[in-house]
Formats: sequence, structure tokens, C-alpha cells
Amino acid sequence: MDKRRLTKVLARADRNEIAALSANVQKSHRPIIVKEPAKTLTMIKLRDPVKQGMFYIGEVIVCEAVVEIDSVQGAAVLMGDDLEKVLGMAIIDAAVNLEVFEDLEKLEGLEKEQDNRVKQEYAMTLNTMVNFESMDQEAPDDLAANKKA
Amino acid sequence: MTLQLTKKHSFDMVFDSQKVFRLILEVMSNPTRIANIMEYADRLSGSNPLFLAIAMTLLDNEASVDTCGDHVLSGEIVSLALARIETVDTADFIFISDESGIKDVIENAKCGTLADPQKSATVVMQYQNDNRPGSAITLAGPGIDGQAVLLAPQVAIDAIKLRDAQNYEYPQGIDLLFISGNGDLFAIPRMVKVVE
Amino acid sequence: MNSNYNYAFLDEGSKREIRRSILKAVAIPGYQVPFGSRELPIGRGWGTGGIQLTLSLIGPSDTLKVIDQGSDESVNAVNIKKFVCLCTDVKTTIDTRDATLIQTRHRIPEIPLDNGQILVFQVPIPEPLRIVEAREEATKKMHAEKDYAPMWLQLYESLVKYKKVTIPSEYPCMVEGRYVMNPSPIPKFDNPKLHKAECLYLFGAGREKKIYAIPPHTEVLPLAFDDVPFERESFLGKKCRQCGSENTYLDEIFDAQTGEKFYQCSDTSYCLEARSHVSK
Repeated sequence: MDKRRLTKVLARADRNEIAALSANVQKSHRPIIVKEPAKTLTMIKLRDPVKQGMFYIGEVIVCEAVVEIDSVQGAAVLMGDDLEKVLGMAIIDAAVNLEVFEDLEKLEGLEKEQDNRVKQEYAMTLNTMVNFESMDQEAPDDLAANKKA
Repeated sequence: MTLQLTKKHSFDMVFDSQKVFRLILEVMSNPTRIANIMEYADRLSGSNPLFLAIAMTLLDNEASVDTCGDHVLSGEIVSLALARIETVDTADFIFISDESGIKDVIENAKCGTLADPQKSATVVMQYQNDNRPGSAITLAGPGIDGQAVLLAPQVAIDAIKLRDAQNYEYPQGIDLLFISGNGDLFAIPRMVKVVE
Repeated sequence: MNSNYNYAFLDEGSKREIRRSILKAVAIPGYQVPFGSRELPIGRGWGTGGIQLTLSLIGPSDTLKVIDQGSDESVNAVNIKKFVCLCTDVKTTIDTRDATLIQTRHRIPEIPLDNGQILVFQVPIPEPLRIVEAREEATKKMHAEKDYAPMWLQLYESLVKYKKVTIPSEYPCMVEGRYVMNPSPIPKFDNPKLHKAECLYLFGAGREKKIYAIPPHTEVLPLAFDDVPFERESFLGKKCRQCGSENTYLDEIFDAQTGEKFYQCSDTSYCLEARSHVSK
């Protein structure tokens, strides 16, 4: 599982699920805290779908943590202020980097559940989508065509 | 959960970085004064705790750094501070401990523009307190009451003279921070010059 | 102290950026360093620049004094002190000598500060050239090229018209012969205190997003012509009705009922101290 997928599934997971996975890692490994979980602010970059320019939509509270297991580091950043969850995510990340993470299948299962939930929500809102035809050169017809997955 | 895990560093990101910052500010405002940051460096573990203490205080993802080839140090700085690694001519902060590299750093570090002189480098140079004879130079400029004599190892004196020799058009310039092996810190900002 | 917020309210990233800006400002005295001014629970125009400096400097071992027009007791000063204490639990004082960090609006304390003290100024308009040039792009260029001719022209025209320079406060100064600086709306009376002082002066403009500094022992000279020297306000014949001082900056107070005008020290803690000495 690549980093992008891993980060996504961990961030969307429930904090109890993360706690369980992290506890499992800690059964056979002792993580050391390199950077204590702490709150900070970060700017969120977005691409505007009309002119395709990048801009900052604003700033968000995030929390971050860095741990080390056997000299291999793991890090995590999470929107919000759940310090325990981000620490658990960092521990899991370190275990994956060290190649000792045993619950990859569980993660894949969680990923499927999460994707299904998102698909269902999206399907519900599809009924409300409006079809636009624009006479304005700037706004492209049907913005949905420009939406990224 | 956090309580059960041991910490690699005991450096407090809030209180220790505030204390280190005040010491850096004090030496920048009073060039030739010496402050000591050893007690804060002792709370960090890594290849160069003194450099790390300064990095943890001043750097983050909005600042760039060049460690002059010290890849272990740059790795530590990236993982702790998330600073960007750049080259000697674009970096905001340059950490150098190898004396042979100082000439290259001072000649190439960015010095800002007349309109934006703050876009210039701060060079952090580490020297060892060994038994080599140092020398004394007389300095003058803002922060110094009249003139002051600086007693320092030759390598630091040479760096200051080399910086002056670049003949930047003020306000362009680079600012120098010196740190000894036992944590003594002093600063020579760009307006402070050697008095002939 | 409210533990739901980070120490001194600001997040560490904000403090770091302000700290980096402060160090560059100290290295280039009088030059306005742009910085990312943060949102605070206090509106712009109420001292947010000074507050951001104070919050980025302050630590548990500091003692804070906050004054507004010389008074520790004005609404502005008291509220700023309360806010800083809410998020730091730091010791506060009204005694100028006991403070390590002093935040001020529009005055410099009468008692000279020593080298261990930092004076933080709240600045509304940091740009001294704004009175002759409205565009930021143009004033930035003027500072870059040390082109201050329009400023000198302004002073000259004032002399020709009114026989004196009619700038009452925020009197522009030249720092180390290079940058013209706005000392914030301090009265002309306080300008000489900036020159070759023992302490560090830091200036913060929150709305305009600029930080600048005067390190100790720095040359700060009010702009003046050789043959028309800089003049401070004169209090000849006047003295403080409370402590009798004849050499401090005095506020003029008007009694609406009797029509009487009297004067008292603007620096309230100085006045209190002078009175306590007299009564001993």
C-alpha cells in the first residue's frame, strides 16, 4: 500500500480502530517519541476549477507527531486536534516503514468500507446535481467534468 | 498512551525554543556579547545538538536551510523542523562547521536586494574551542557602545573579515551567528564592521 | 492561565515567523520587515502588532508592563495585560524598573530603560513616507534607493509657510544615516530617547504587517535642517500638579466647570513614584 493510500485510510479511520492497530504494533515494538503530538496551523491549498489557479482556502488546525521504532521514523499529520489518534497513526507509519506492520489486510478492509461509505453518500447527492449550460466563456460547461476523484 | 512512551528529546518546543530565541535576540542586539545555549542543546539528541537547538528554535516549513553537505544533520532538521533543503545561494539559514567551507559559504550566501534586504541568509558557524591561538579585533556598529573588542578563534575572525570584504551595498548583506563547541553563542549582524 | 490555547496564544509557527522577522529587523535597524500578521481576538487598530511581538517574545521568567499614553490604567493597557496574562500567567508590574518587557502605545517611559529591557511599540502606520506618498510600491522603492527628497521637501515647505515644522508627533527620524523611520505616534518630547539607548526597541504594526527595530546604541536622529534644529515640546512654566515635575511630558487637563487648565505627568507610574518619594 503506497503512502497516499495509507495516509488516507488512517486519517478516515475511527480513533478506536487506530488505537487498536497501534496497540498491536506496541505489543512487539517500543516506539520512541521524536516529536510529541502537538497542535499547529497549516494553510490548505486548492485549485480553483474555473481558472485552474492555486490559492489558499484558509488555514486549519492540524496535529502532528513523529516517532521512531528501531531508528526508523514514522510521522503523521491529521486535521483537528485528536493528539492520541495522530500519535497512533505515526506509530503505524513507523511500523510500515520498518516493514513490521502485520495488519495490512485489516487496513485494506477499512479502505473498502470507507470507499463504500463515500460512494453511498455521493450517490445520495447525485439526485440533487444541477446541469449547467454556460454562455460565459470562462466557466466551462458542466463543472463535474473537471472534478477530480 | 503518550505517558508510557519515552521521548527522544526533552527539548520543549514551546518553552525551550522561547528561551533560546531570547538568547539569540540578545546576542544579535548586543554584538560581541556571549550567551550560552548548552543547557538547551543537552535536551536534544542527534549529530549536532547545538545546531539542532538553533534549528528547532528558528526553522520550520517556511524556512530553507543548507547544511553544507552534512546529510545526517539535514535529515535530522527535516524530520524535526520540516525545513526545506536548498543550496548555499538560496538558503535562509546556512549551518557550517567545516572550516574549509566557510569561504564558499560567505561568497555565495544570498544577501537580499535593496528593496528586500530581509531576504538574506543567516550563517550559523560552529568552531571548536581548541588550543589554537585566537586573536582580537575591534568592531563598531548598532548594538555596540562606541567600539568593542572581540576575542575569538582565528577562523571566526577570518569569517567576519571575509564578510566585510564582500563589500555588500547596505542594506544588503548576511548576518553571522557563531557557536562554539561548548555552546557559547555570539552574533555579528551585517552593519557591524571591523574598525581599522 | 487558559490551557485550551497554546502558551501565549499564538501557535508556534506564527511565533517562529515573527521571531525570524524580529532578528532580521534587528540586523537592519529602521527597515520595516514584512511579516504575516495573525488574527487575534482583538481588532486591528487596537495594538495587534505590538501584541504579536509581545506574545512571540514572552516567557515565564518575564515581567510585563503595558502602558497606553503613559498610563498603566487605561482601558487599552489593562485589557492587553489581561489578555496576555490569560494565556501566559506571567508576572505583571506597573514599576518601569521591574519590567523586562514593556508594551507601549504612543509614549516612551520617563525612566531610562536598561540593557536587559525590551520596549515594544504599537504602531498604527509604520511608513514615515506615507504623508508624502500614498502608494506602498512607491515608498518601498524610495527606501530601497534612499530617495527621501519628497520628505525633506515637505519639511522645507512647512518651514517656509509656518516658520516651523508642523509635525506634532510621529516625527520621522533617520536611523544610522540610512533609513527614515516612523517612531510611532510618540510626542517629539520622546524622540531623543530613541537615540543611543541602552535597551532594545521593537515596533509592530499589525494592520500594516510590518516589524522594525532599533538595537541599543543606535544612531536615531530626527530629520532636521542644519540651521533649523529639531525642537521638542516646551513645558516652560508648567509643572505636574501631582508631583511637581518640570521635566516630564505633561498631559493638559481641562476642568469643564471652573474653566481651569492644569497639567499632570503622562507617565503615571513615574508620577506615583515621585510622589511616594516626596511623602517619605
